Amino acid sequence: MESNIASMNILLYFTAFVLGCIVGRMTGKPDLGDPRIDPKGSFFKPEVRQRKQVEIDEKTFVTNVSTDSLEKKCKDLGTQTTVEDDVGSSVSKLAMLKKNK
Amino acid sequence: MAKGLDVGTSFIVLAEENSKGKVTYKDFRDAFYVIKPTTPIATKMIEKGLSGKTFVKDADGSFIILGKDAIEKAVERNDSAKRPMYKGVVSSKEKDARRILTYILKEVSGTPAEPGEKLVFCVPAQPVDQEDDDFDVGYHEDVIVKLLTEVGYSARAINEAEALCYSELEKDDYTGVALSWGAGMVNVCVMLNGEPVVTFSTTKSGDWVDRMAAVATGEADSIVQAEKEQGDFTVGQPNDNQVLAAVASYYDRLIDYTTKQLASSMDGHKSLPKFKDPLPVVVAGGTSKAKGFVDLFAKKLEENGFPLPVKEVRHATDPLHAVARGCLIAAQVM
Repeated sequence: MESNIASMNILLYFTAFVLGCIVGRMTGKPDLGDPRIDPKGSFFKPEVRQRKQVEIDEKTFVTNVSTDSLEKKCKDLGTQTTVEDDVGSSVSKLAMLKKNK
Repeated sequence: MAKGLDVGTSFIVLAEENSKGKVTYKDFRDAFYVIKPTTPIATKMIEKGLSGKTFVKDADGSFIILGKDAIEKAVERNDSAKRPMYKGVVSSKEKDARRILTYILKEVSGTPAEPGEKLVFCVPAQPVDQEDDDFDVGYHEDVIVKLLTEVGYSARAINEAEALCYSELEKDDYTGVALSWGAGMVNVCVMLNGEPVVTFSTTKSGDWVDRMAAVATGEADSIVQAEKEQGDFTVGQPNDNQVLAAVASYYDRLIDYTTKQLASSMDGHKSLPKFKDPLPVVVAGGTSKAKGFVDLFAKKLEENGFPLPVKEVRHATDPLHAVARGCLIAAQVM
């Protein structure tokens, strides 16, 4: 009689363990490695970024920044250089690559 | 028409194609230095002394010197210039940072050629060597989008290393690895056929070298930075100049640290595809311009177990402008 109860208990525990494993596997997140190195979609596919990222918006409210009080006392800012460079070929190739996806 | 804008910790670079086959870059050093006169006579003397320099006058009477002139003035006074950006984002350490950065960006980007002209600017990726709560790029991105929108642009952000890939990997069918070694961070992107598969950053770069060399030699950061940019040294090699010797030594440590971070972050990562061919690795950014940098980086990459097959390690064609060029390409494809 006692051995029957022990067997029933073992069977019950084993069944509960197996069910737990199945439920855990079905509902748990897959291991994707370090989440900090996930690119969260390409620049050209922001919808992928939005779909993957479901999180609270913690951004601080961006208030107006006035630069009116700064009186300019110089010429234009920055040093300009012009180079021979055909970015058109890069643009065409990349656009083609994006179109084919 | 479209524009690309590299919003870096050390340099702001604007790229625009002004006619077919010609690109114009506008560079501006991302620094400022404030002098507050105490008397009206001092005000006149200082203003006279700043003749020919790049500066603005604030409502409270103080002078804000901008760009490389700010660094020169700081060095002259044995002090350090301030930065509106820190580690790739708008600085929370300087109370004037947002206002100064806004002013510089408005001046450098200029007015759009037409309302709603496309402008793509770069932002850093999430660092792997710093806790999430200590770093957030969202606010930085919002500040820049807001100010550029006010000026009249249709602005969008792109990951810094992704932009570098678009600039440098055309001949490799946009497949390879790109590292942008800026002043504040190193940004990394692994790209497969024009799609970024992994992006991340590390938080030690050129500024860290300056800081550590400054601590080691007892000099101000600005002085170390000036020596580093003007002096002759080779990464990892001894040097007679005490400051340059420290800089060369810390460069070696930085490359070792970064290549170890690359290996540990990427090794076995499930987002990485199985590349059938060895990949080109492209490096860019001001920090990568030091003599011997690329050779030592290639050596350390191999020594520290970089998990991807490498075909070659090469410098970007124009290391200081490559990210802005990538932003310009992205803006034109957008």
